[in-house]
Amino acid sequence: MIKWFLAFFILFTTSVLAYTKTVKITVKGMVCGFCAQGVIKKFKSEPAIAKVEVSLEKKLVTLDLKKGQDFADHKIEEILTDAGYDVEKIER
Amino acid sequence: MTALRLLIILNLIAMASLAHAHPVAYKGATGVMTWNQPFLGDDWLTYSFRPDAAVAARHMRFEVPEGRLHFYGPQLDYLAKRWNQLDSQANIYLYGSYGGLNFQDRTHGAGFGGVEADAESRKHFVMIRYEKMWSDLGPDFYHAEFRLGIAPYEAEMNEIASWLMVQYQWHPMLTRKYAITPLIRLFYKNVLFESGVSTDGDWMLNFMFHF
Repeated sequence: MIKWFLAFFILFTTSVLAYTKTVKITVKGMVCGFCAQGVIKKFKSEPAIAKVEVSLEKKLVTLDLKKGQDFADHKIEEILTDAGYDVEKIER
Repeated sequence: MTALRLLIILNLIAMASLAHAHPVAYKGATGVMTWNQPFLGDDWLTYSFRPDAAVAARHMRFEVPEGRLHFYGPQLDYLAKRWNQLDSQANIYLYGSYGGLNFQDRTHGAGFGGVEADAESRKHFVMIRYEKMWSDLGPDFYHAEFRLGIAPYEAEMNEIASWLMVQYQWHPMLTRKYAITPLIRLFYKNVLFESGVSTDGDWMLNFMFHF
């Protein structure tokens, strides 16, 4: 029983640590790559964020978060508002 | 092209590497814009301290029938209104400055104000701008500019974007009263370059950079 408990515990903690979240944000006004450079710069400077991708065609900013990290919606909205855009939708 | 003109262009490009395109960029952005035509020069160094406001240092060169004028001054730029839609963005900017106007080795105080409106999608671009300068040196200076643009393809973030544009300028005080200039705009990441030749044969070379 103890062996099973330990195995479950190790499996559980490993899966939590390995879990990375992806956040998809639909953005209004993001039509120009020259102006959207600020979005990449600001998100990249956040320690919780591992990778930032911007698609002008899909109007989408995709954030890959670092293992075990989270990034609040209000911070996402603040960064995008400071960059001059409006948030349409945040999906996690 | 003369060696002096080439040197000036290289200088402007080098200056750009120190330091934007819209009067206000994203919060914390620093940028440079240089605008170069034989009858008009315009250089901006801008810092956006809020999403809707920026401070700038501006220099303008005007070629008038009596000679060359230079305007230097600090400037405050304000994003008065922005409309963000999924496929488009439109803006109205206001800006004002008070600085010095230099002409024939004399410098006079001068005020400067402007309004700019633009709208763009990934395929279309339109912009109109009006500026006026007041000085005790002589009659008020004013000019207007209008641009229409179309993108031959919709570039993604990691691609070179290109735009084909037509620009109309009206400045009755300058040696060239008006100019129609077809131009090409190219940008990649945070570097933007524009070049064109007017129907009168005047070259135009503009460069923008922000970080």
